Amino acid sequence: MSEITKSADNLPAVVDREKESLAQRTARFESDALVFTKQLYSAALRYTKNPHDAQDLVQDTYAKAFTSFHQFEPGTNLKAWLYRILTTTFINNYRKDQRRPLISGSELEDWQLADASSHTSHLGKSAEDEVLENIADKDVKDALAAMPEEFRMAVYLSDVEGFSYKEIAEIMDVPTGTVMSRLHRGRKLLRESLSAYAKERGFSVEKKSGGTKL
Amino acid sequence: MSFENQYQISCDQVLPNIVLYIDHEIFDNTHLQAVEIHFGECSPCKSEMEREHAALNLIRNLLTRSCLEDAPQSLHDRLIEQTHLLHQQLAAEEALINGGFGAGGYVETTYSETTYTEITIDGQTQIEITREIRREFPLE
Repeated sequence: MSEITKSADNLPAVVDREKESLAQRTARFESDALVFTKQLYSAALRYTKNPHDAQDLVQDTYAKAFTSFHQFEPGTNLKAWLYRILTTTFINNYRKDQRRPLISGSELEDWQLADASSHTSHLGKSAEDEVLENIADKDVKDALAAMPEEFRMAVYLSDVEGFSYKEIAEIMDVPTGTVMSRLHRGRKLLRESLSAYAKERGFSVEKKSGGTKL
Repeated sequence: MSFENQYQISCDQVLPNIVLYIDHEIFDNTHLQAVEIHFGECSPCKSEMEREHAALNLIRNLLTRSCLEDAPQSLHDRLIEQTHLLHQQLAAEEALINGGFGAGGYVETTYSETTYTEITIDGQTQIEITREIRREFPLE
């Protein structure tokens, strides 16, 4: 796979890896890499769906990152590099059903079909959006957890972490077109299931606005 | 006039690209300009884009609010401890490679190591680095 994309907001650090001592490298690891613990742990929770495995996954990720830190090119995107290790480690060692076939084929074509064949007429914030804003954190997590893994990862990496399609492609080791497909379908699925949760919980617009119509 | 024509695109060409536009994934400047010019001239497309954008922002806010969780202190402690342990292991390996301080003689070994780096996306650039490495190993 190609190298992780250079990030514009990471100024290239002036580090001469040839001359750097082990002690210096360890110090650099502690100051530059360990600061992502919270983010990696949050992602690991969404990947593994339980705190115990999530902690182990983060620990394994950092062990691998430390032992190959001399290969990481300073000034390139460290966060994406760590996420790639996290994701690969998860897929290889933590996935509950290792043999589960990966989604493929049909997912590739339809990302562009969208629902965008004609104009829709809503303007401004829809009533549905207002309902969704009040949904509980736990419902959001449950909705995400119920999604197929590939969709869940793509949505998380894009919409929580803000990675570009290309970065996600490198993290998940799939083509960019596949990322688009998974992201599009994942967002759609998530939105549908959040609406369903909201309805189930009875956050109806009528109730919220004090109306009595049924 | 042909200059203007190249920026003219239809709703059919814009609508399927709205998500790419919102995600900042249109990298071709001519294409991006054409889409923006179209939004300026076509209010239904612009509304559609704004609606999509608002819907996506809502999902992003919900996800970020719900999913970012503090790691337990025990995990931070484990990571620091693990880093120290791994550091010590590497330091011990380095010391072994650089030669023990107690024993008498050394065996000198020379070998060359070749590394390939910088394979760009289009496969254009390849740099090959070969270096000679000389290491001393303590005698048994």
